[in-house]
Amino acid sequence: MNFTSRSLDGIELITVDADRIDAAVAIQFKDRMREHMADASGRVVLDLHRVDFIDSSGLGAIVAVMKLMPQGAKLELAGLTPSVDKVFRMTRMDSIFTIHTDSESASASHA
Amino acid sequence: MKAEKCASMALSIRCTLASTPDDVRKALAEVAAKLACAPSRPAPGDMWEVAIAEVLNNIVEHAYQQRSDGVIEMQLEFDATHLSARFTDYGLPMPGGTPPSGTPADLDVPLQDLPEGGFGWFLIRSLADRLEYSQEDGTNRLYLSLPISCVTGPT
Repeated sequence: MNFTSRSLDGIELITVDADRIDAAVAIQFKDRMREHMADASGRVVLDLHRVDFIDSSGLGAIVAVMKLMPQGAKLELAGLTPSVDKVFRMTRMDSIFTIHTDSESASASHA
Repeated sequence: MKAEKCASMALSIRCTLASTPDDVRKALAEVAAKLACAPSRPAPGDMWEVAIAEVLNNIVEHAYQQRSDGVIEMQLEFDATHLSARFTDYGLPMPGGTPPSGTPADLDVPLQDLPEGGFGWFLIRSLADRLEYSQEDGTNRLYLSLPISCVTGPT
């Protein structure tokens, strides 16, 4: 499970370089994100456009990451593929996260 | 790829896998690979894989309690409108002899109380139009049927 991280117009953009966030990698995903987020501040956008499958374990891991964000940092999502988007909508988790169409619209919005 | 009704999508896949998250992932990848070369297949974004993954994850986590030596048998039959899936395992029975009701998670709570799990049966029950479970002599059998939309033509 790899990420690439870069700054874009004052936000931190983290792209998940994996096609699945499932039960096989959920714990690793959470642990890697915890390390990475330790000194996060401001808006952090998780770009999921390469992820074409997520299950409830993966969804739970993303919720866990949101909960461990340090004070003053906020986790947002971008680039949800059709199946991932449906999982967020079905579980109503789309009401918990700020979700952007893609990383460009995330950087253009001042949420 | 043409998004038209599939006249003759019929694909039957049977496999046996071990009760680990890695084996679940591999089994799903094999199914997806077979579907990819079928003349017609579930449309991109179809949720069949989520439903199947949740059932398998539950068997790994609850029936076999994360033991890695459990056996799971899976039979999937795709036709033009439905996926019929049969699962057999030899782990613990469902508590109360029936699959969980899959109540939607309560999200009207403070951030730190948001649920990090418990979405699995909610997703399965939302996606399936038929669900049957039986337990006999240490064997759990689960049948579920879910509507799918499919497309024909080369990928």
